Amino acid sequence: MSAKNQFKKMLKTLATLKSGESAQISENQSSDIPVELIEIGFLPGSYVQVMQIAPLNDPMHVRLSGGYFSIRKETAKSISINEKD
Amino acid sequence: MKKIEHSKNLRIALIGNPNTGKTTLFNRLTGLRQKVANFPGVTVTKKEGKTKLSENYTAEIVDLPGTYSIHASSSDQGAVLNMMLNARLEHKIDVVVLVADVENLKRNLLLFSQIKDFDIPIVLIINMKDQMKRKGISIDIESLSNSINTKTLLVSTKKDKNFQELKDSILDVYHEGIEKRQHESVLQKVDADYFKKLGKLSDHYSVYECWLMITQDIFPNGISEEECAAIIEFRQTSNNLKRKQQQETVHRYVEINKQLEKSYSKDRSKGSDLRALLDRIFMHKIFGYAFFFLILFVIFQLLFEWTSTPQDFIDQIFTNISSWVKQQMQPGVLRDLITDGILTGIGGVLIFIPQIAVLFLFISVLEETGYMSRVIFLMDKIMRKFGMSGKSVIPLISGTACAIPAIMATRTISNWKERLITILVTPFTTCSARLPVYGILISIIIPETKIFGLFGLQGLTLLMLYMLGFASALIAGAVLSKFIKNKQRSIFISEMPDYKIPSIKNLGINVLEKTKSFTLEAGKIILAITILLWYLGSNGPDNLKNTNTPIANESTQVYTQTNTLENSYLGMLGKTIEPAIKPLGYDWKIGIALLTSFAAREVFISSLATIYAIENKEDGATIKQKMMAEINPDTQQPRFNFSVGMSLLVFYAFAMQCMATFAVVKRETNGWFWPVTQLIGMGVIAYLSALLVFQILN
Repeated sequence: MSAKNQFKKMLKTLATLKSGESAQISENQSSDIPVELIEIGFLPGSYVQVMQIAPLNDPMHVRLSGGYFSIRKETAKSISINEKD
Repeated sequence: MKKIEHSKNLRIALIGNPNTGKTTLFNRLTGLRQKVANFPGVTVTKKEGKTKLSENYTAEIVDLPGTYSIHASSSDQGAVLNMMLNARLEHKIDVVVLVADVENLKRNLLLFSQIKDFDIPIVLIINMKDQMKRKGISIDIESLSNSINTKTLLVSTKKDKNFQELKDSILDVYHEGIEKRQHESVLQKVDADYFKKLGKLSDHYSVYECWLMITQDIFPNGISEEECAAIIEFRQTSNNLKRKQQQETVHRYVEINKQLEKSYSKDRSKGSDLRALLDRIFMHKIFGYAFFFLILFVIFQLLFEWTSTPQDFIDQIFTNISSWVKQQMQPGVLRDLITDGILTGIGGVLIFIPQIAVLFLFISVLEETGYMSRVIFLMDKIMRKFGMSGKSVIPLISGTACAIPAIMATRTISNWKERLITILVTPFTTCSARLPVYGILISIIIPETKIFGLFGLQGLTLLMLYMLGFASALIAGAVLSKFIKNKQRSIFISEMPDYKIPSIKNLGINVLEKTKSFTLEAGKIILAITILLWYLGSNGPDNLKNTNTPIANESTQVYTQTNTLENSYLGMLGKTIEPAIKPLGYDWKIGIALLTSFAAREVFISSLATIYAIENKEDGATIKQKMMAEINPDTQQPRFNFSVGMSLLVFYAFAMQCMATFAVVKRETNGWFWPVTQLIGMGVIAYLSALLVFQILN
C-alpha cells in the first residue's frame, strides 16, 4: 500500500496542477528533467505557482522564484512535484 | 615625463539573460556606431559597436545573444561559450560586462557564476534600479559585491544619463587583472575524484573549460589534437554527464542563495497587480483572441495608409531620374543598362522599404512591450496543430512585409522541426512584392462595384487573397508536419516578461536593422537579376545589336523593339515554356513576365509594360490600359479576361518566385535540399491550382 502511494507520489508532475495552484518541486527528480529547466529556476525544493493555463489547456504560465515562464504540458510532465500536505 | 600612451582599444563582451535590458545598454553605449554580423557556422546574430571609455581608452563592444546559461541553447547555439573558451588564450575579450535585472537577480546570477569561472575580468551590472521601489526590492550592493568578490553596479539603462561609472569600473577591473582563484569548488562538490583527474588533463585549460568541452562538444580554436582527444576520452555515458550537470547547477544555486541571503530581499506581494490585470485581459479565452485580431486589423489598416504616399514618392523619383538619364545620355547599351537595368533594380528594392519599416515598427512595439509573449502563449496550441509553435506567429506576420526578415525571425524557435516548417510555409503569406501584381490584375478583372453599397468587391478580393496566403501556410504546415521527422527532443520555454513602455531608441535601431537586412540580402539579388534579365532581354543569338540602333521612323522603331524582345534569349525562353503555360491561359509574353518575376514578383508588371510597349503607340498609356488592350489572337478577345486573371492571381499566391528568399532559406537551413524542395513544391502547387482555376472558369 505504502509502496503504491510512493509510486503515485512520484507520478505527480507539474502538468497536473490547475490554474492558481502552487507546489514544491520535488527533490527526487528523474534524470529526465532537462538541465535547461533547472537553470531557469525549476530547482528541486523551490516553489512553483501556476498563474494561468492557456485557453486550449496548454501551455501553462508559471511563476518561479526566477521569473515568469510559459511551458508546454509535455515539458511540465518531466518535473515532479510534491503532493500537497 | 612619460608621454601619454596611444589610446588603447579594449574588447568587451556584453553577456546576460534575455529581457534584462542588455540591448538597451548596448544601444545607449554605442548609438548608431554598430554593425550586425553572423557568428561563423551558426545562425546567430552578433552585434558590435564602439564606445569611448576615457581619454586614452576606447572599447569595441560585442553584444552576445541573450541566454540563461553558458550551455549551448537554441537561442545562442553555443555562441557565448565559444566566445568565452577563446577569450583568455587568444585575448579576444578583455572584460566581460554581465547584465542582470534586479527582479530576477537569482536566476541571472547563475549565468554570472558560470561566466565568472572563466577568470576574465568581469563587471556585474544590476539593471532596472528604477523598478525597485515599485516591486518592493531592496539590495545591499556593497555586501553583495563583497560576497561575490566582483565589482557590482546598480544602474538603470533606461534612465541613467551617461555610464561613466560603468566605464570607470571596466577600466578598473581591466587594470586589476585576475588573481588565480580556487574556482574548482563547485565542481569538486559534484564529484571530487572525477574533476581532480579531469583538471590534470590540460596545461592550458582549466578544469571548468575542459568540463564544458566534454558536455557541450564545443572546442576552442588552436587546441592541440592530443588535448582534444584526451578530453573526449574522458566522456562518460550521457546520463552520467547529465546528472553531474544537474548537480553542478543545483550547487551553484545553493551558493547564490547564500550570497543573496543577506544582501537582497523582495516583497513578493508587491508590483504584480498591473501585470496580473493586463494578463487577465490579454490572455482571456475570448477577449485575448479578439484583442489580438483587432490589433492585427489596425496594423494592416495603418500599414496601407502610412505607406502609400512614400511608395508613390519613391516610384516617382525613379521615374524622374530614369527619364532625366534618357534625356542626358546618348542612346546606347550603356544608357539602357543604367535606365532599364540598374535604376529599375534599385527602384524595385527601395519601393518596399516603407512597408517593411512600418510593419517592423509595429512588430517591435509588440515585442518590446511584452505583449508578443502573450500572443505566443495564446497561439502555441493552435499553431502546434499546424506543425509550428506559438513563436511562429511573428514570422508569419512579418511575412506579409517580406519573407526574408521573417525567415530570419524563425531563429527564436528552439524546436528544429517547428522552425523548419515555419521557414517552409512563410513564403505563402502575402508579401509586399505581390501587392502590385494583385492590384493591377484585380483592377482589370474585378468590377468596381460595392456589395450592399458598403464593401468594395476589389477590396474584398484582396482580402481573400490575404486569407488564402495565411490558410495555405497553415495547411502546408499541417501536411509537412506529417512528413518531417523531429531531429532532437527540445523543450518549449518562453519567458513572460513584465509589461514595459518601449524605448524609442531600441525601436528605431530594430527597424533600421530589419530594413537593412532586407535591403542588403534582397537588394543585391534583385539588382543582379534585374541586370541579368535586362541583358537576356536585349541580346540574342542573332546579334540584335544592329537592330538596336535608333531608327527615325517611329513605327519601325516600335517594330524593332518587339522584334528584339521576341528574338532575345529571354523571348526564346518565353517561347520555350509557352506550351507548358498555355493550359493556364498564358502566352509567351506572360511567360517572360513570369520568368522575370524571379527577381521580385512586382517585376511582372514592368516586364509586361516593356513587352506591350508596341501595341499601344500612344504615349502616356498606363500599363493597365496596355494590358487591357492586349488581344488574344486565338479568340480575338482581351487577353486578360476573368479566367486568365484569376489563374494568374492564384499562381502568384502560391509560387515562390523570389530568389532572395531562396538564398535566405538555403543559408538558414544550411543546405540546398530544403530551398530546392520548397521552390519545386510551391511551383507545383501554383501550376496545378492555376491550371484548375483556368480550366474551370474558361
